[in-house]
Amino acid sequence: MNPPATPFSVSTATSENHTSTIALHGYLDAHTAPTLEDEIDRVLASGCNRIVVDFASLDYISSAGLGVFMVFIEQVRAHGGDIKLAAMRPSVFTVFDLLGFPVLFTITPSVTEAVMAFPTFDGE
Amino acid sequence: MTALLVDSAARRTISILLLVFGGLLTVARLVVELVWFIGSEREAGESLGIDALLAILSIAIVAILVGLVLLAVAPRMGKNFTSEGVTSWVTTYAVTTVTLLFVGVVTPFYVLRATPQDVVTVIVSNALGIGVFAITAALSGFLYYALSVGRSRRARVVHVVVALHILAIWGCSLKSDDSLFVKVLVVLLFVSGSILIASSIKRQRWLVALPTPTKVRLISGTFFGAIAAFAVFSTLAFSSNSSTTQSVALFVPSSDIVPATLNLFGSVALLRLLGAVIAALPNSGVVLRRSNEVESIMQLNRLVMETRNHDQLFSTVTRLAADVCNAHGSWVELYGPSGILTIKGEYLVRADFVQVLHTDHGFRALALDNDQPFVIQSVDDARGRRNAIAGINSVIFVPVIDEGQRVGTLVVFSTVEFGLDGDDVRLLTAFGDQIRMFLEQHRLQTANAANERLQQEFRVARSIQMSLLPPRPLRNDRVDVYSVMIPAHEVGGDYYDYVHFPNGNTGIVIADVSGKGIPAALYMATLKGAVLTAMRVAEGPADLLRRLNTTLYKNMRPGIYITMSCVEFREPSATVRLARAGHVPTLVVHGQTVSSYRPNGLAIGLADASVFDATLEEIDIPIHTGDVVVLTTDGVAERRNAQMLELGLDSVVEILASTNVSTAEDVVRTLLTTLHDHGASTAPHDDLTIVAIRCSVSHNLDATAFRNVPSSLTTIP
Repeated sequence: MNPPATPFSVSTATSENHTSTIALHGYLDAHTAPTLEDEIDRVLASGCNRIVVDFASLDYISSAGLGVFMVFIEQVRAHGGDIKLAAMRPSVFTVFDLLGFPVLFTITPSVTEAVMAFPTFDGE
Repeated sequence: MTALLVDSAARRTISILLLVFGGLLTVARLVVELVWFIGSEREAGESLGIDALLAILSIAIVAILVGLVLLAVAPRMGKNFTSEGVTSWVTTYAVTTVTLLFVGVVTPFYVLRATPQDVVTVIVSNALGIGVFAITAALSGFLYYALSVGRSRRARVVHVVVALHILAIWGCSLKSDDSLFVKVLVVLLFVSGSILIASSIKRQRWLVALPTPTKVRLISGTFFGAIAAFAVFSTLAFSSNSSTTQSVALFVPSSDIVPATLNLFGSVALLRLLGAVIAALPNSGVVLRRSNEVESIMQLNRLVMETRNHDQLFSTVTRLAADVCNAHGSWVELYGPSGILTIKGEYLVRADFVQVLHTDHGFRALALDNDQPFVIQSVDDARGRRNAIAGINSVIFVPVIDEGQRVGTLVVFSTVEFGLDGDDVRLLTAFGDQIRMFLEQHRLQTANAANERLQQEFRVARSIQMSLLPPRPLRNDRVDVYSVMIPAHEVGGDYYDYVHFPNGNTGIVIADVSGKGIPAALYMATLKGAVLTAMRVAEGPADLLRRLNTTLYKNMRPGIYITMSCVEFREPSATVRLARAGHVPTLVVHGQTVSSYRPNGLAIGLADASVFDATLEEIDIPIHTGDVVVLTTDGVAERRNAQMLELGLDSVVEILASTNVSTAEDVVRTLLTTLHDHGASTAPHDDLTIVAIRCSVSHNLDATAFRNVPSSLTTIP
């Protein structure tokens, strides 16, 4: 038997400071990770590599879900951008924390802080 | 009685007995007549006794005849006519009857006062009398049977009505006065009986399916039978001076009207049957065609279910298609990938014939033109020029479909223009469906076999993976290890092992590859190899993890990572050294206290050596005898229940603290029970591993002794 169906959705909004905020909802696991991958691909294709991921509505994240950020981070940073993670619930943060993600990613309590953590856009 | 009639051997015995007995009675009656009328020159009516004896003998003989007929008819009751049965019976009847009438005509005699005058008259009259009663009995049997076919038992009241008619007519004939009323009544009874019989013989559906020649034989048989029966009727009814009529009257006095009536009714029944056969005659071609169609489709259907051989199926399809459609040839062409054309089951087609056709682009276009089965009745008309392709003048194309794709064509052709029509298309469409079913079935069977193979490979993979884990618990005077690993699927990404450091200390690693199933299992196997290599040079847990990250980081797909913990049992310092690469915390049970340790460290595969090595911490945990070190993977704390609620690390700590555990096995069993209770109704969604190590510390122990701890389970082969 497989785990129960995991409803998951993403929505992207353009924020100030030339960032895109991707908001996650529901369960992010091996089944739903491709949805997020597609979304990040789409945002990158649109020319934006300053990404904030809003975890406020994310209920659960699995190892495969975490892997998504690892897939993109090198490419994004190579282009001078970054992926910042924001507004995690404690249970979700624990997962990131255990793996040592705080060493690799900027993780902020709120989306605004994440947006502001990006250097001022130089109009590149 | 019924059982006797059903048993054919008994029926035969009884028939023979009846025949012998009837023969004896006949001889007896003959002798009495000869002695009484000829020898003693007496007349009928002189002795009531002799008259009664003759009458009784006659009636007994008639009864035996009726009995024989019943025996012959009984086994056929409830069954339908067969054309062979009817034809042979009616022919025998007609021939016998005509013979009898002929004998009656060529041996004229006149019987005065119901007394035969000479030996010839005695013999001939007896023969004719018995003969007429015999054919009448046989015809009555036929009539009885014909009125029963296709009717329920209740509906057979018609038999009674017909019998009443016969009795009434006989009754009328016994009245000596020739009043007009009686004559009209008799005629009316003849007419109403005939109408009743003609209208009661129906549902002759068996006729429809007969081929024309059989029907023609039936027509001639019933026709002559009816004529013969009517001749007997008219002889007995209208020619009272004929030898035949007189013989009947001599044999059973005042009874000649009964065989006359029965023959009339029999004649009507035969005429009715004749009408039915004539009415069914025009269908013969259609019926033959339909029965061939049904037969061919049934045959194909059986083959589809039984065979897995493509060639056999296609050759049967083409043979049946050509036969049933009266076509001159047929083949199945299959379009392989990259346009390779394969011809299957050529029937009446020369080897090079199809190739010749396919060099004709017009023909190729025609075949592929339409995705529905279609007929070209005249190839000339279709191509708009007088140029039949290699003798093909009409042709049907039926697409062969598999998985919604056009994979071929069933081609059936005739060398005759308009030799094939829409009716053929209808049948061949069904053939196309059969081919489709066959291909579908074949595909499913193949897929099934592939699936079986995959399942088998999974089982092998599982056993291989299990063999990558330590084969038996490690137990000595220092440590008592008990462990369990349960993959969520057949194989998983969890791993634990005993390591043997160069400094002689024993350690244990536990790891969890991100993701599940085969990808995780492949990394797990890779990890085992890396651990075996790294432990030979590693100075301790942290060094081992660093070496593993350095080795694996560049060789792992982005997004895949491994969390791992390593403990080293350090003696004589009575500590456990722990390093953690993103793994879940390590628990140490000390009596009622459970401590959780999570030194810093990134998961393996997340960052290169510069970041990973700088982040990684190593801590020493003091231990006492009886302490249990518990290593798990996240499948334990993250075990969900039906409400998707995780068990949580805090619950695990609480349970271990509240349960009085003394052995490693106790710890594992307690946790398994807890996990089972928590997620009872759900399948585990993640691989799950628990390794519990009960430690014994002896401060007096000499360091060399500890170095000799057998940890050969992970030694390199």
